[in-house]
Amino acid sequence: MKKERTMPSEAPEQSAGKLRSLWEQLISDRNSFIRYGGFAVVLLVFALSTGGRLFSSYNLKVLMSQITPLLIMSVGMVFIFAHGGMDISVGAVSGLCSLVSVYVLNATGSVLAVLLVSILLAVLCYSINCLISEFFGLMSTISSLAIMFAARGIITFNVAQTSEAIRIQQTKLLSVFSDSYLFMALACVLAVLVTWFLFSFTKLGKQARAIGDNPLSARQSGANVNLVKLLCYVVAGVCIGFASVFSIARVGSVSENIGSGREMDVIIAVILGGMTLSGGCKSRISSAVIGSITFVLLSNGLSLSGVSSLYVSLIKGALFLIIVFLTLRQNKNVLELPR
Amino acid sequence: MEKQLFLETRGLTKRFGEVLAVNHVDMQIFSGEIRGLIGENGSGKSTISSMISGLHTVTSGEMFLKGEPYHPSGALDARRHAIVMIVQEVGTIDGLSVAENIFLGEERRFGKGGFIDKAAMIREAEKALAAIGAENIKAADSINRYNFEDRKLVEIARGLWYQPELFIVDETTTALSHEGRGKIHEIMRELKKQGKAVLFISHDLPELMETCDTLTVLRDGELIANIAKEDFEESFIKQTMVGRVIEGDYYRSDFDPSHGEKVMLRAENLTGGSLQRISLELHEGEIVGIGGLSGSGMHDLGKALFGMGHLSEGKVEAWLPERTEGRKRREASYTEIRSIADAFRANIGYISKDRDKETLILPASIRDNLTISALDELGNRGVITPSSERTFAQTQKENFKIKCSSINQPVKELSGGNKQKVSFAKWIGKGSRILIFDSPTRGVDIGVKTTMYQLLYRLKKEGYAILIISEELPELIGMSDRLLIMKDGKVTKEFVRDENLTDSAVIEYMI
Repeated sequence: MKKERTMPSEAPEQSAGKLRSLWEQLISDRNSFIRYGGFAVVLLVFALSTGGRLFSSYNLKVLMSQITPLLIMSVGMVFIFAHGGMDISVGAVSGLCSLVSVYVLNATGSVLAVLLVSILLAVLCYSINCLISEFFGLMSTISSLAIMFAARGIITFNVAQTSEAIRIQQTKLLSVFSDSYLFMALACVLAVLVTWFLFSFTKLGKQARAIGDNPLSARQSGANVNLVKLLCYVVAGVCIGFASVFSIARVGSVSENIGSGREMDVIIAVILGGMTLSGGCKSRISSAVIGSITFVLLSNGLSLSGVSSLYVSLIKGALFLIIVFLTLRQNKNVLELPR
Repeated sequence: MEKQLFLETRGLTKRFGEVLAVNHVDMQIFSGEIRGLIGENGSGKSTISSMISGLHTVTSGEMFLKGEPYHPSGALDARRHAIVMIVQEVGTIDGLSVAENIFLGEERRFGKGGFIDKAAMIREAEKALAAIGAENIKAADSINRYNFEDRKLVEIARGLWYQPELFIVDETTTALSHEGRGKIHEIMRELKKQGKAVLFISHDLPELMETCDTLTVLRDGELIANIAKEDFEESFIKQTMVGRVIEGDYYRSDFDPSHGEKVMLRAENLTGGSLQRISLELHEGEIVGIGGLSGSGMHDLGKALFGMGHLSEGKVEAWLPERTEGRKRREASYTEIRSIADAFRANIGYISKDRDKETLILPASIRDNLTISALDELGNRGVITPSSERTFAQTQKENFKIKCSSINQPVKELSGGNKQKVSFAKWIGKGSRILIFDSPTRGVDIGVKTTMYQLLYRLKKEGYAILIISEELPELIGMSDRLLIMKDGKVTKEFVRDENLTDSAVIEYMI
């Protein structure tokens, strides 16, 4: 069964050997492989197929405005996925935040108030979500489903109630969120830095990952499991509230299905970034960062290369399956263990 | 009669990651013999039998079946080659009938126009059961109606129905009653008479000596000796297994039960769950052993002392030394332990009996496992830098001589002994002064056991308060200053460390 002996490791002889071991390491760490390989492939394929139009200064701006909300949401969602949670209310909650943002902006004209309200609202939704799932011992997916329907219901109701469109009256106020690419870049950097810090350098991130792998051990190692989960949801809420302001600034008005589909975008993005949705020690913020960029490049590249928008969903679906298949294969290939 | 070679292995080797489990084993199994396979935990017995029966892949080396190369692709393939194994764990499926369990995967045999001829299947199953003298089991019944022992018999009936040439019994008998064992021995002898080969793996030396014709002794994955029946002698076999004469310094050698004055952990009248009015005190520099059968409540006691009990009465208190909390200085005092958070604050460390499921995080690295309980200590105003984690983990790795390729290796790749070292290190590294170890040497091989015992003794000398819960009496008698025996949730007897204390004196208070 077990035996405490290691064979003398062969000394790495030549650089060829080193290169090979590097390759083997890459293969064995399939998450990184998907993360960087997927990014590289998407970048290369669309750079060629669009004849360089992918990098035109106009398109770069489009990319930036598409990446910003997705990336900020994804880095927040990493906290939920890492501890083994699953959430499909992103789109509806973000839509609700956008709706309320419009009301607040039109009433007060204060950007600060919009930011605060949007973030608080998302945090509230996510905290309720977490508490429901903890209090009733419900699967987090199911409680998020409830939140999703509730939020979507409020949006639909409000849109149906008003005869005219719910839109931002003074578009200038939020222009920095929709036009300033420097501001978007700064916001992304800020979101990544803060979440990366929380995730890699504090108790919260470390305990969240431990809970994702083994909640029992995490508890017996001093993690207050319920509190850690709640804090993870709060972090996700902050990110989603913040990102929603970028979304509404870009669109300008609220429609019935605002934000819908966002939840799937986030999930596909983090998977594209090589994250396993069951969470645990392999979770990385970089999965969300690289994954979001890859995802946006993919959607944008597809339409730029003239692929009809009819097919885009289909292609995304196929891609999703392929990557899930790859990560599943990995689980089957885990080391054989002593019985 | 010339013995006929059935199975031969040449240079059979198995590696689990960095760990070499079986090392170049050349073994011959003959038709018409009962071969015993013996060795300590981790010596490679189960791994060899798993390779023969196709459950494990072979890392290197070859196997030959009657001279033909043999590469089983799985358990089914092995069965096609007339090799069948009965494993230690339950191998039946709840919710199916006995007959369905016996012919799992072979339903096609009873196919009749797309349906299964249940009557025929039950008839055949009855024959299979009758063949091993298990007529009390009804083939049409649901398997749920039968206990563990009967289920084992069902598995055996299933195995034998395929008329194996080699029948492997892997530690099956440990869980069986005297009667059940007798039945299996009888079946093995019958197979031998029919000229079949039997490979019998057990921990029970007298049992092996009684039934086997030859014993193959394994140690650290290597084949040490084949001992023929005429040379069977208990002490000789034991010595061969261990590779040295066991005595003296295996456990601690002193018989001085003295310890510090200070009570570090105190339980008063704990009642609730499986516990009934349990009181105990654990002093500085003392090792207290808790012994009993696994249903005696002793494992729950360990959990209760760590703040995980469901107590209706009584309380647990731990000593908190002088400390600063925030800006305030706090006097040394006793604090009640009501939750894991309280236990954490009082520097209590706990290793569960089910180490892999409750104490360690298997997919995570050694570093993550070591630091997860010490995050407060490592943090500087809440910020935990990678370098502080690395230094901490590296120090613990060296202190406890954890064998690994690096601190970034996943814990699941380590051997049992090294996993347990990680569990020890995670609490001692954090600075826990009160240590509750449930089954500290479970699944740990003998070399590491010795180091564990030395370590426990050193910790005692350094003033740690240690509580060991164990199902292994020799270990408890060998290590404890005081030994409490539990039965039905109560403490039935207390022994103080004494040279003349024996297993048999203790055992009567357990059962």
